[in-house]
Amino acid sequence: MTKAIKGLAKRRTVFALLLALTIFGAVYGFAATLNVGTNALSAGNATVASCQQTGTPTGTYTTTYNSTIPGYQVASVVVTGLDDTNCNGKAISVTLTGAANANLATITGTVPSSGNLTLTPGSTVSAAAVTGVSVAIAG
Amino acid sequence: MNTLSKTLGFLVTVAATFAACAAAATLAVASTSLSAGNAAVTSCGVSSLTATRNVNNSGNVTQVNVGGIPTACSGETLSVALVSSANASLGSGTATIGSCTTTCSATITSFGATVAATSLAKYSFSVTGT
Repeated sequence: MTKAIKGLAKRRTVFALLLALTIFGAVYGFAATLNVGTNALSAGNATVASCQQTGTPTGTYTTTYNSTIPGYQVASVVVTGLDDTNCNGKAISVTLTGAANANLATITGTVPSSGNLTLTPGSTVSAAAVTGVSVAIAG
Repeated sequence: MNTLSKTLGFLVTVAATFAACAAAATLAVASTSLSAGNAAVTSCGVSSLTATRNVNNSGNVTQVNVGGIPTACSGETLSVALVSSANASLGSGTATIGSCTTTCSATITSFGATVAATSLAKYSFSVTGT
């Protein structure tokens, strides 16, 4: 009789221990699931690399007379010095800026294999108004 | 004992499922490349220029002489448009500004068209670097 009681007590202890571990695991699992399922907080890190490893993209310009201005307008923007090895095929955006950094025109294209890209503004930009150029390459 | 084993097995399975779901909380992040920059587009100092023109016996412009160009513009390309009173381009030409010590000058002799001196009202300039 005593042996049977001891055996029963031992099984209950083991059962209680396993039940406690099971409940802990379940609660832990619930907490982690809530973070993902509700999108309450998702975080991670990634490096934003630059494809422009060598060279400096440089804008040069051609102009043409426009009687509407009247005066010279930017006919084309030639971007030289592109890293054609690493940036080839990536999207490039060139913005001509004026006084107070106003956007005069944004031109988009694709970096060619030659490393030199000629872009034509889609609107009339007075050459005299251009004070800066911004270039972005993404892909 | 058999019931106890089944119960424990079920509970362990449930716990393992939740643990697996919890592992999915890890957020994978990746990024494509991005390069960006800005640069100032500076002027070599040209705010206004003066020009004279030569006229042949037929009354057409044969040459435009541009003077007073800042030395910082040396080596750059000067474009000149011959403009009418209605701001129409009568002809245009380009010249490379040569090296100079004080001020530079440039001469343009080809305009892509015959320009009557009587139609010429003003000049329009552009200087671009290379």
